[in-house]
Amino acid sequence: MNILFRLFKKKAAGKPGPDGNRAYNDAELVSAKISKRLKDNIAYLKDVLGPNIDIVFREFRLGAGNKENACLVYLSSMVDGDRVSKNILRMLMLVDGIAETDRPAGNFIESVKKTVLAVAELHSNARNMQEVVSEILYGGIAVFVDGFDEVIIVVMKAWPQRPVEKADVEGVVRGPKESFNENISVNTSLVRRRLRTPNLVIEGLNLGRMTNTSVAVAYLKGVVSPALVQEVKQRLERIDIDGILEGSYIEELIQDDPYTPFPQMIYTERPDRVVASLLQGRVCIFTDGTPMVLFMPVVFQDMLQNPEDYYERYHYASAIRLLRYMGLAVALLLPSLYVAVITFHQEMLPTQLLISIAASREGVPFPAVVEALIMEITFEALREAGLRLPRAVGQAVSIVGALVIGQAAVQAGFVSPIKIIVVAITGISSFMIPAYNLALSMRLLRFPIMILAATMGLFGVMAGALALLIHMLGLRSFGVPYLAPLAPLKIPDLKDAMVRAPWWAMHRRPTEIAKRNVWRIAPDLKPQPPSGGEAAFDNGRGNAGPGERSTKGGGGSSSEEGH
Amino acid sequence: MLEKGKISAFAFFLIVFNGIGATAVVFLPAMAAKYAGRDAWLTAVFPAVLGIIIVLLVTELGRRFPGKTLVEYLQIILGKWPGKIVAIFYLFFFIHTNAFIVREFGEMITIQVMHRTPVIVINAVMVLLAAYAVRSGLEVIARLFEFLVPWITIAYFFILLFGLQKAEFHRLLPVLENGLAPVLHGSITPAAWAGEAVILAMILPYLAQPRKGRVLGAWAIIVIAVFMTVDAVINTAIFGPTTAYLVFPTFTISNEVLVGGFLRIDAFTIILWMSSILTKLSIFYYITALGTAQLFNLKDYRPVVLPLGVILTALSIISIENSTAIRAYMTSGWPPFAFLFEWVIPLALLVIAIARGFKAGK
Repeated sequence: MNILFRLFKKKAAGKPGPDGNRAYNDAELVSAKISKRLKDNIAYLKDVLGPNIDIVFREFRLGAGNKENACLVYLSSMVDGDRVSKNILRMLMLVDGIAETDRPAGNFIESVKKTVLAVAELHSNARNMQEVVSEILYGGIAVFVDGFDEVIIVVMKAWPQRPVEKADVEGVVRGPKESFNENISVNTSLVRRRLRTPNLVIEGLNLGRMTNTSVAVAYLKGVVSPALVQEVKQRLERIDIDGILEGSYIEELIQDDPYTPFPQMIYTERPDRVVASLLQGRVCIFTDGTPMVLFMPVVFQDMLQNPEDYYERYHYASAIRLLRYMGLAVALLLPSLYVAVITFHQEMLPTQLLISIAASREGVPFPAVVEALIMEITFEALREAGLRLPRAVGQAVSIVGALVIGQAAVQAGFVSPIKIIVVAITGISSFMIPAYNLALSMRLLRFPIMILAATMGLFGVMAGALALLIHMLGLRSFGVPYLAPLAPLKIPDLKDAMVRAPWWAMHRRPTEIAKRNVWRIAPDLKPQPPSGGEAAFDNGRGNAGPGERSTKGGGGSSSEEGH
Repeated sequence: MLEKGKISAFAFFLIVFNGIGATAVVFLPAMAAKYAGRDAWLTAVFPAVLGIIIVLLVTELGRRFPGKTLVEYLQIILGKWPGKIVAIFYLFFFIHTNAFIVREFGEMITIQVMHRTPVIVINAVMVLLAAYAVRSGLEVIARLFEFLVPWITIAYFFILLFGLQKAEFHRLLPVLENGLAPVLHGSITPAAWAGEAVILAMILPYLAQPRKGRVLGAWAIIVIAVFMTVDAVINTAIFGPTTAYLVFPTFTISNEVLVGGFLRIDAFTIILWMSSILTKLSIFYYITALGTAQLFNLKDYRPVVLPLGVILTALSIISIENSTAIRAYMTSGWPPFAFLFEWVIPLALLVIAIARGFKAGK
């Protein structure tokens, strides 16, 4: 540390450093060749990276028997200092002489790489300063040796990162609990571990002129349609932006319809869901710094699915899916139906209910639509406040929300209790939609429909719903119609749409997505009891229970493996 | 080609099916009962046969001019200018029929639920919705059919099922009390309705496998006939001879029943019929827009959609006084007018095409 400190001091005391306003562009760096003179290289890099607090230029002499001066250049905040000392500096300073014969042949650097540096990941491919600098900026350690215009880049990335934690956005009772974190290599490893086939391809590219964010495109060769991969890559390659801080930047830049409120890609924090989508023939995009992975193409019904649908018994999963569709309709339409019925169509309600509603609305001074707008906007405000406030204060907000707004507003005759019920049910329903971004769209879209309800009653509500339907029918996600498999109708795909069929019955991948190679399950997997009936277990009686032995008749256990 | 989309066989079937059926199930029972009385359920047979003949005529023409719509091959068969003139008449027929569809719906809404809303508001909103669908292209319209029609059909059956609690089937007897003449008389309007299958001539080229068009179209007509028969049976069983005096008999069924003793379903019926009408409206609207663009050799049909919408809305207001006028026109004036475009001209075209030696492709 002392040495480092002195280095900094020296630098600070010496040259005033480069002009702070001078920005380097890539072309300039590319044209800067690596010099054979160590001094020139150091001077150039100091010029480029000089004023940074964490840049380290560690000059030393290659160990006994060698006289070459050398220098390590790295960012102390991006590498593991301990390992640098142990695995690089120590090796290089104590090395006992590199075979003399290598020198004239110019194999010196090769020899250092092969016989001295005991680290896993290194290369000397950098041809110009741009490549050197970009490696340094991403946790590389550049080893310059006087007299050679080759640089050894040792990769020893180490920076603070979150551990792999439990999924908290898409939680499940049954199923893997791991979720992605902000490190792209951790994320890809989580996926690769679940998909041990050479056909899994994870291709990388860098996006963002300033951020140089690593982005990876993953797909399963032989399952995915090649045209889709091509299309995704093309759309990614035309991105030219200064920075990518989150996967959503990419999403907005590559989606099919730029104006629609409906998401055309799904993000997930669950590795198992990514693997499932790869197995269905979709393409995934990993973005460094984002704990969410995007996958595409998706259809509308994918957003009403949760990974647990595949882990739970299929009867329950199907029922829950149907419930989600209802929730979707309620979240979108219930406030508008309330407004329409109260304002125009009182005759629709059973008389008893009508009377109690009329009684509860007696003291309310506002028309139904004003009442509805007040309460819905208040609810949205509460939700937003609860989300953004520090956690300790959040509690207070929910108490204020529940007590003050709910109870007091009713007692003050401000709104009717029935409206509170409507708001509550709408809120619950919108939380039932698994895709958060879709839920947000639904919450937003209910406001224009409320206005339609207030002006044209049920007819207006229906007109709004039909307009949305036409809009959705016209959408495509990477060429796949948004409302498939319902429109256009694909009967085999209906097994995994509004309901979930058991695994032994879902023989195909989604046909719209995996255009070819649709068969995923052997045709005769339906579990059956062994043909001998009771007799089949006879020889096992006494020492082992039948449950342990029956692998074929085990039923449900095979369901979870394929996903 | 103006339209690049292709539609699947299923969507094509649904387009013919609901393109005719959407309004038929709501209006026809009353119109058929006007002449045929309690034998109204027999009036679907004759129109079905004629409907199938139209499908055959039109697909036969389509085989001679593959990839061409009615508007395009009119100009080949009759020559450029005579063809264009007949095409203009056809476009008028489409938009005029469409105006009636819009107005029928507007009348139903203003009569049943929104008594004080001017009918033009309802009509304009419906036309706007349809314009959105039409601008989105044929594929979107086809998907609209695929998405809505199965649900509509299921729900419609449920309405009839709920109606059964009030049905008394002895009201259907005696059968053919006055002979066949009233039944045939009552069949005229349904026949004009079934003749709407002529829209097939405009969308046949966009069917993914055009040679399937004939079978699909014929099946659609048969299914409609079955629907109309069931509809008429249940309406007659519920209302008896008064069916003839109801404006929307099927809708009245849903007014009559309480599901589970408390739930009124008439609002759901409106929702149902609104979706149904939207599909029919948008396919008629679409073929008008497409035909107009083809008539004037435009590169795209989208620019004419909104202007046509304005004409459509205006026609729906100025050409009809009220719902009684619709009924009067539908049972007297409209059938001959429709027959001209549905039977006479296609038949004449086929004859001329054969005479001029246009051979059928494969």
